[in-house]
Formats: sequence, C-alpha cells, structure tokens
Amino acid sequence: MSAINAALRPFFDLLLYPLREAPAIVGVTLFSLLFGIVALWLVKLTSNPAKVDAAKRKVAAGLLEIRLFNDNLRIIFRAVGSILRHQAAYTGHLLVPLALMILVFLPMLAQLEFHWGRQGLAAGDSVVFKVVLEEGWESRLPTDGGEGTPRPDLALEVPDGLSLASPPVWSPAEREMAWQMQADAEGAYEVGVRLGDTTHVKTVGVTDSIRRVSPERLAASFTNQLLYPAEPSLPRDSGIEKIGLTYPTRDVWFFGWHTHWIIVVLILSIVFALILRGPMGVTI
Amino acid sequence: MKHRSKIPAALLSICLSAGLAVTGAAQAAEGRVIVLGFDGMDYTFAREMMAAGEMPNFERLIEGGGLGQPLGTSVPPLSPVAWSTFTTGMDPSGHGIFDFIHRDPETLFPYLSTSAPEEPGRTITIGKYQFVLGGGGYELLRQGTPFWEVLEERGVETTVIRMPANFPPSGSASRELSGMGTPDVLGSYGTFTFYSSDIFLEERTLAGGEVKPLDLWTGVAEGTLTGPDNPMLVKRSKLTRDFTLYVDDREDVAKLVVGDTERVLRAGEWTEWIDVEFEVMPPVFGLVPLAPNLTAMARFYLRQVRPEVELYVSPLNFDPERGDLPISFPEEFAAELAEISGRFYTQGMPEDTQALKGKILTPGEFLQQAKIAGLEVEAQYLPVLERYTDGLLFYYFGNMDLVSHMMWHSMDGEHPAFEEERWGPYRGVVRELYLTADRIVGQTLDAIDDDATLIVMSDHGFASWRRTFSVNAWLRDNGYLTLKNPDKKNPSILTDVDWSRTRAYGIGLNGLYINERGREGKGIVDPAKKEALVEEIRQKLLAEVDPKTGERAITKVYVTARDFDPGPYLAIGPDMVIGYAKGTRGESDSALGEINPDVYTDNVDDWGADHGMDHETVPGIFFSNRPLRREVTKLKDLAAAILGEFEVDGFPVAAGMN
Repeated sequence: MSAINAALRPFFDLLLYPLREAPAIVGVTLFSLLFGIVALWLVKLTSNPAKVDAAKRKVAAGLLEIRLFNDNLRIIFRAVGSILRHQAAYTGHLLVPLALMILVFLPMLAQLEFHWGRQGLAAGDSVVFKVVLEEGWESRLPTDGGEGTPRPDLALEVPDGLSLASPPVWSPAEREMAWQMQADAEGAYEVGVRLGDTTHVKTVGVTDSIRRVSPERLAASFTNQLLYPAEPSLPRDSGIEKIGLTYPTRDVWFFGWHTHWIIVVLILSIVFALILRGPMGVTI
Repeated sequence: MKHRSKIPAALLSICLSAGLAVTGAAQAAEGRVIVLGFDGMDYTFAREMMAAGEMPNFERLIEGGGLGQPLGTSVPPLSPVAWSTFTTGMDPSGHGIFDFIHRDPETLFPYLSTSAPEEPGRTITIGKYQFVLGGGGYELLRQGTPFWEVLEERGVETTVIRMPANFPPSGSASRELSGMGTPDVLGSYGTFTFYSSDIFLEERTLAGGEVKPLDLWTGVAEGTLTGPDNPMLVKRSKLTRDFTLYVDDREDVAKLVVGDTERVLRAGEWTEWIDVEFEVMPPVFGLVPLAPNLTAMARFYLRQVRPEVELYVSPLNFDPERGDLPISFPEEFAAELAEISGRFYTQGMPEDTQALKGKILTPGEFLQQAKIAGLEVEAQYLPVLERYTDGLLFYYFGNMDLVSHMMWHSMDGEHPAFEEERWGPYRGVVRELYLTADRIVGQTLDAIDDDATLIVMSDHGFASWRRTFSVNAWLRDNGYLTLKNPDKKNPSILTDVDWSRTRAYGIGLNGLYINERGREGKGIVDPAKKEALVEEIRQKLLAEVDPKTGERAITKVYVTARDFDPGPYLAIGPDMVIGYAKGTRGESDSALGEINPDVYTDNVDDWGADHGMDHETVPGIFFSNRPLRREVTKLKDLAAAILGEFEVDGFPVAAGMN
C-alpha cells in the first residue's frame, strides 16, 4: 500500500496541478465525468448485459403486475416477491463491476480528499500542532529528565515561514505534546519532530491554492495507509502514533449549495453515467 | 477549526457602490454624508484635548469652516434614549424609549426597553420533544420613523452600522447591522462565565455573569458551558457543552478543547472566536439529524494555571456568519462583514463591564477585552468606508462609552472608588480613547472627497460619578412609599411594598412613577390629584441637598406630561424624569426596584463614571467639516439636518404615522 501511495501522490499532484487555481467544482466535475466513464466501462467489461436486462425486465413486469391487478392481494404479494428476487439478481449481476469500482476508486478518492476536502492554512492562521505517542512510550523512548511528570525528549524544528506561538503542553493522559503554531507566510513546509536522536518530518501547507495537504502523519498500518495516503507512514518503531494539525475543511459550491466534494462527485458521476450509457452501449 | 468559505464579498461591494438608486422613489435625492457616532464622547474633554493639540484631525475637520460645538442631549441622557431621539428626531414620547428599563404598569415587573422576545408559535409535542412551528424572535420596541427610512424613500442608499436601539434591524435601510440592545445567545445583554479550580470558590450568579467550578484532576480540568433552554424539550432544560483544559505541569500553558476546536493558550492569553456547539437533539441512530445544533461562539481567556486554573469565557455570541439571529438587514449582510474583517461580537454592548464590576477581571484585563472588542469594530469600519461612495453612511463606535464608564474616574483622585494602586496606571486610558477617535476621523477625512459631508457626533458626554441617590429610599423616607415590613432586609418594590399606602415609586435610572389608580395594577392616586402630587414631589426633590457635599443632589425634575413633546407613547414612560446634579446618579439596584437602606451613598463601584444626570451637564459633541444647511443645537435636530444635506424635508415624521 505504501508503494502504491508513493506512486499515486505525485501522480495526483501532477494531474491536479493545472486546476490548482480554479474553483474546486471544476476539478470535481472533470473527475466525476471520468468516474462515470470508468464505471460504465467496468460494467461493460465485467457484467452480462443480457442477464442485467432480463432482471430489469422482470422487475418492470412485477411493477406492471401490481398496477394491473391492484385489487388482487395474492397477485400483489407474488409480484412483490418477484420484484425483490429479481432486484437481488440485478444487484448480483453488478456485484463484480461494483467490487472493481471500489478497488479502483477508493485509493483515488482517498488521494482526492486531501486536495479537495481540506484547504491549506492561510498566512496568519494559528493552529495546534501535536505529537501523540504510542501507549507504553515510557519504556521505549527517551525522556527529557526534567522535573514533574516524565515527558519525552521531544522538540520541534520549525522552518522560517512558521513559528511557535506557545511552549508545548504535555498531557500525560493523552500521551500528547501540543504547540500553538503560527503560519507566517505561504509555502510548503516540513516541520522536524525530534524525538531523542531521531527526527521525523511532518508537512505543513500554507496556501490558498488547491494543493495536497495532510492533516495527520500516522503510524504504519494498512488502514492508515488506505485512508490517509497524503503522507508516508511513520516508521514502525518510531513510538509515535501520529503527528497532526487541523486544516480548515473545504466545501464545494454546487448550484448555490456548499457541500462536501464527495457528495457532488456521487451525484455528477451518476448523472454522467446515465447520459453516457447509451453512447457507450452499456446496460445498467 | 472554523470552516472557511469562499463566498465572494462582492455583494457588499456591489451594495455599497454608487448609483444603485432605489426604484420607485417618488423624488430622488442626492448627497454624500458620513456620520460617525462616538457614544459618550464628552465635549469639554474633547475641547481640552484639542486645545492641547492632541486631536489634530478634529482640528482638521473644522478648519475649513466646519462646526465644532456641544450637542444638547436627550432627557434623560441615556444611550438608548439618546440614540432613539437621534434616529427619530423625537422626544421619548415619540419613540417610546424613556430609559434602559421600563415597567409593566399592571405588575410593575421591569423589562428592557428597546426590544422584547416574541412568544413562540404553535408546538407539536412528541414524547419529551416539541417542535415549534414559527413564532419566536424579537420585536423592536423603538417606535417612530428612522431618518434613513425617509432617505430611502427618496432613493438614497443608506448604510446604518450598529445604531443603538435598532434591534432587530428596522429593515428600512439598504443595509443595517444592529448594535446596542442585541442580546447574546442566552437572551441577556451579555453573560460571562468564570471558571476556577479553587474548591473554596463558591459557585454563584453575579450581575452579568456566573462563577462555576472547574474539576481539576492530574492536569486535566473539565468544565461545562451553559447555553439557553433547549427549545426542543418540553421540560425546560439548559443546553450544555463540556470543555477540557490540559494543563502543563511545568510551563504556564494549557490546551483548551471545545468540541472539535483545540487551542494552546499561555496564561494571560485570549483566544480568537471559538465555536461552541450545543446539541439540541441527538441524531437518529447517531447519524440522521432531526434538528440543527445551536452554534454560538465565545472568546476564552486563560487567566492563570497556578496555583489554581482560572478561565474566563466571554458571553456566548451569535455567529454573524450563521444568521441564527436577525442582526442585520439584509440577513446576509452580517456574514459579508464577517467575511471581510473576521467574526465579531454580535452582542450589543461587548465591553465586559460586568466582569470588572464583579471583580472577575482586573482593570488591565478588562482593558484587554475592551480593546479586542473595539478593534473588531474599527477593523470593520475601514473596509466599509472604502466601499462607500454615495448616500448615507452611519457608523457607531461604542467602545468609548463603556470604557469611560469604567476608567473615567481614574482621572478623579477625589472619587470614592479611586485607589492610586488600582486606578493610577489607567489615568491615560480615556485620553487614548479620544486619540483613537481622532485617528478614525483622520482616516475618514483622508478617504472622502471634498464634496462629502462628514459629521462626528456623540449622544451625550461624561462625568465622574461620586455620589449615589436611591430614589425609592427617598420616597420611603418622605412618606410616598410604604413597606409591608420596614425591618425586612433588601426590600424590593416587586414584593415588599404596601401598595395601598404607596403613592410613588422609582424604576429605571431616572424614572419616577405615580402609583396611579386605573393605570398601575394596585394604583391608589386619584388621576385628578396626580398633577398636584407630581408638583409636590418635584419641589421636594429639587430642594434635596446631599448631606456629605452640602450641594444640591438634583438640579432638574422633568414632568413628562408637561415638559416632553406630546406623543403617542407618553403613557408608557415615567411621570417624572430626575436630572441629578453632575457627579450624582441614581442607584443601580434602585433602577430595578430595590429599596436601599440609605438615600445617599458614596459610589465605590468600579463603574465610576456616568451620564445619567442633568442633561445640560453632559452634552455630547457635534462636529462637521462644513456648515450644514440646517442649524443643529441638540440631538433632536440632527437627523433633520442630515436630511437637509440631501435637501429632504418633512422630518421628523409625525409620531404614530409609521
């Protein structure tokens, strides 16, 4: 998964580069068209149109039966049973293309979420930057040896363009060190998280363009890599559960409605698929 | 983190741009007038600073033949009254605002004079939940025709920002943002909350605030924010939202978590606006919401983390970007202003004077808070000014008034509350307020063309408030008000007065009412004998001498039926308005009907300056960059003079005509 993400990140960065200054709805619409075409192509490739068509006809026949014999309860029940049975068959005929769609689209959607789902910090914004350690960190990581509750030997290396607006707050209950961080100027930054002798890096994006931003860099796991592909995972033995900051969410304008981009993609993909199924000769 | 939307601010820009004549106007008028309203700017003090060369922009304003004179204020000289008089060109009898506080004549229960919550509509009840069908909201109680309405009828674009006593907005300007009188989420004029981990600190309710515990355990402090009643529940229950503070055990710093928002704070630091979301109804299966949550916003101030954790939370304000309360007209105007210069206090009087009065904030902390509130208003002004090109722009600055209330007496070494250590460091604060006003005037002069008229005005002046007069105690001592039990402590006119033997009572800062038969619920004074009683009380009040100072305590007593213009709202006001001598003011609790033990007391309150006195002693200011077509000597003249600049007559509009 790490290797796939490592390839997909620059690919999507490149693909979306021309759209970085355009409203998000432009890219969302283009990708919806692409998703619609790919979905139809997958259906065409992996489903049996005759069986799909037959199942659809049976469902339609059941509906017609109910309409014609609406005074006969026995026929209505039989028709409802038939509709349910053939609807299940219809879904079954499309299971393979659906499974393929999930396989193809999920990594793409996960990548796009970090372009369209969030926006970069603005110069002047102030956010909490935090490092959460894994459970049992005390036995595996160096402590700073200071007074009070034991705390990790943890410090930030902040590049120009960012600054720390507070000393860290150490929360033993949360195993978390948190700073208030100020975005002073636009740029793509890497903050160094020094833990003992090792330094890990976390990206911070200060931009008003549509760029990939990563709210969290997480410990290595398949799920984390699947759902948070915007940055490489932390090494398995780092002792860090996550390094993160909060980016503002971004809603997409859609005919006067401001909503999450994925809802727009869902609607537009279906619309494009319905429009293109005829020209592409696909039965759905 | 707050969601940042990219709604273009173009609408505001378009709205404020020139040439958008209102269609259907009977007779088009033209002109460019900017009015800056500095609440509580004192003429004498301003002139002294000008004479010392400290207000060069005010000098610049009048040097080309402009005007600079005192402006006679309203009777009584209280902000809601004065601004309503300015708005309508009428006495309180014409606009219906006689004080901050009015009373229901039947029950004598006091209520806020400028707006009132409306009853909710019909409800559908399902189990413990209720669904309200319409209704609710607020009603503007200020009557009369606002001067901008007349301009709009003549096709003049008007923008009216934060006009006091204009909540909900009248809806008659092209754009309005409500100001003084706008409530917080709790429906009050501002209720702060102070949290402390000190186990000996008593949980209590103060005037304008609450003190609550903070549960601290191994570096984690937890508290609960209290919102309004849950509108969805049949049984009354407050909405709540928990928050957590993670306190560092070495540095004076903590992390605050409220809902999805996190903020690391140093001790002594204020946050920006933070969303406080109250769940009105849990979503079905945890997913499907049946009712929108109520989202307020607050600023948090981490006062200290050691030895005890102390956190101040500002009153919960409505978010101008959400439009949950009609604070602007059109409704989206508030959101557009927030888009341009950031979210802002929407409660009408944002400077937290009550927290200073309650000794929750120190004078220095109060000033920090007041500065934040003042800067928000100032930051919003410049973009509005940049976009203004034509018509009328009125912009209100309230910071000077509320800070002066708390800081003016730092210049008065004779004030009973003055202590050098506490107030000495703040001797220059009022001066700084006037410097700020001067800077704003300078920015405006730089931005406008020669043909525009700039008016700088205030509703009243200011004076140190040293002595307090309790009108209800005076009425009691002079036999006009009788208690059921004279030995009862802290009696109130609401519960402890023998109305069968009471002829007069006080409600509001300056109001005195006759207990008139047929008007008051338990009235005993024959209406035919009322005039004689009024005159008798008036003479006695005018003869009052403060035993400590040996000077008259009251220099004017206005009989409203005789001294005010006739008007349709005369009946809701008091029978007499007391004009206290400069330096004396009505007792605060007496305004809500309390009957103090003593008539006279020293004012040892941090609210050490005021203007609720003889109106001739606290004039406001009137400056303009050119002579106006119509003469202005008092506040009541000003609106007609502004209309005169557009060559519009017929103001004030006869009361009762709107």
